[in-house]
Amino acid sequence: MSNANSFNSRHFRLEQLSDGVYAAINADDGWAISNAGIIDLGDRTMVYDAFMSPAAASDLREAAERLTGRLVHSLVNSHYHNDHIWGNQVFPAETDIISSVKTRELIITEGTKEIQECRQVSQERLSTLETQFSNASDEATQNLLKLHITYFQAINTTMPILQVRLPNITFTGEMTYGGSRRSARLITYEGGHCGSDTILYLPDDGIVYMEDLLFSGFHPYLAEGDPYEIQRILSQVRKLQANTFVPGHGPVGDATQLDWMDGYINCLNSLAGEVVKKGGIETELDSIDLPGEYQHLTFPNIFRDNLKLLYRRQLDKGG
Amino acid sequence: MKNTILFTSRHFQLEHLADGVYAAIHNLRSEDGWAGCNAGIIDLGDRTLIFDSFESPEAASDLRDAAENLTGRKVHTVINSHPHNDHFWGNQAFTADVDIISTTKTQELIATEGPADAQYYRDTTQKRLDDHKAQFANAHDEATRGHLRLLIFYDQALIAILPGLQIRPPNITFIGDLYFNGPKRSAKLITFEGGHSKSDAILHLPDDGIVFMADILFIDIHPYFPDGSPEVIQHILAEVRKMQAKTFVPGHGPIGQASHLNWMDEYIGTLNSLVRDAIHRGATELEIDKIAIPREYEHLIMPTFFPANLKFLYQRQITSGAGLVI
Repeated sequence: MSNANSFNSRHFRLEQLSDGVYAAINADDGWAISNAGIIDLGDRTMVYDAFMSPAAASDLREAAERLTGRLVHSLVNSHYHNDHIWGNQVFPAETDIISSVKTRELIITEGTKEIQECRQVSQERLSTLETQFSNASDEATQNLLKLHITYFQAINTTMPILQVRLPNITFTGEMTYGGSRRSARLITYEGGHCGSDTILYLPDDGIVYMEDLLFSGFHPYLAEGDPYEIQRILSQVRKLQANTFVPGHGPVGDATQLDWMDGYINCLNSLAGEVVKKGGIETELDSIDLPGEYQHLTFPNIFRDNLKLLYRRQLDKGG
Repeated sequence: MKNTILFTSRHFQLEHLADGVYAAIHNLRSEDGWAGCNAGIIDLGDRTLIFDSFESPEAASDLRDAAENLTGRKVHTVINSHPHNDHFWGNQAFTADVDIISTTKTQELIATEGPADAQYYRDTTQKRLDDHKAQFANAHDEATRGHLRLLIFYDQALIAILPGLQIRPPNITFIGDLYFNGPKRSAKLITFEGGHSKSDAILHLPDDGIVFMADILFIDIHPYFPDGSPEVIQHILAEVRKMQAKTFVPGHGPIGQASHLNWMDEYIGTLNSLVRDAIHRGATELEIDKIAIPREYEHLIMPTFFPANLKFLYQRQITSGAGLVI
């Protein structure tokens, strides 16, 4: 056993949340791309999400083994997106991979399309970004480009070795792992961030791993799911009365981070609503300024996608 | 890994249902063996699954050894189909690294009521054995004597099992359905509430057309209703028919086929109409007790379940104050 500070990875930073509970927070220049969790149940070790690259996942596996003193028993795949599951393959064959039934289906269907698309475009995208980077003059643009470059580097180093390993245990509702030290409850929602999202709640510690139903420091990515559903899920999660929330991307937060996420959706919803109200066309969204409070968030291009989605949702609903 | 004689145990007989799928059948009429119910061994290709752990750690140890011999690896997961002791008292025979899985409700009932239930048997079994022996001494007809012999054997088995028994509740629980996806086959645990017990999970092997039914299905033995609802069982049977499986492993009794689902359905229908007719005649509860077992059910073992089932249906009928649904 060792402590979180003694483990170094270029891909993530380990943060101890409670005795035996850790968040692995993506490092900007690493290939984790998303956050993960390590949970010592007392008699079994659980890992929540497997990162984008097997390289980062190998470090995660090693951290889990060192911190808990045993092999990983169960690895949870929160949802089907590549930045949460492509690391599956580095875990030993005896590690159970757990997801919702729907997530497994989506890994097979949408995940396969995602891989094909990555094969076709990611090499070229990386070259374009690198050219843009060398031409960029201001530091802010360079920093943003650097994040995009890291993202595509993670994809490109993974593609040649990628072997998608599917979850071997799937569930339709909820699952609870009762350990000698704590229990871990997996709760599934549909259509929030994507087709199926599974959060991990540790009732004994007041900790929730939220995956991409919560972002901090980043523009939330809303465009694949339903932002209103995310708001409903957030209100369900508030009832758990937990104190610590690990987002899918960005640093660990407290309950106010749920309010922030809710407020972000409300804010963009009213910005889009103003355009809808005056009968504006979709391109008018492009002239909306990024609100001051969201200027510091990473990946500002996602802001436009989110606005567009909320504009369309309101039109569908009849204004 | 097919053998003519798969594995020998005094507690159960192994039956080969498909390549890598076995039923461990408790012989209903045997006056030996402490299995208490049927179980299953399923080779998923990379992991070994057990469906139900029997009534005793002794029988479960043999089940564990059989599974390890047949599949060539350690048991990965043991399923507890429902919270009745004859299906989970064997849990302790599996090492601590083996996962034990059940529905959340089944786990709660095992954890909260399991210890008191075991204590009840510790406190009462000797007396029941004495009573059964006394009844046996006074019984003259062969049917009654045969029935009492089974009960005496059962009491003696409990007296042997109870001192070493430790209740081990499942460590993994689920709400809804749970699927195991192996390279050789998948196995789907599907749950229902309030059929035979408060929570019943059946295991469907869609690649093989096999369903482990636990106590949703009884064969050659009177089913037991008082902890659930026969109407819910009928609903479950209808759901199971849609799976279009060919082989059905009951919780108790020999392996069956689709026609046994109909038999179970009809048994419920028959008992319901017996009770309905009796209520029409204005029969009291005592008179319900005297209803004779219909000829077609005379060969079933555990004839004492028959009046218990009738009484349960009668009381439910009287308290609901309405005509029977069926």
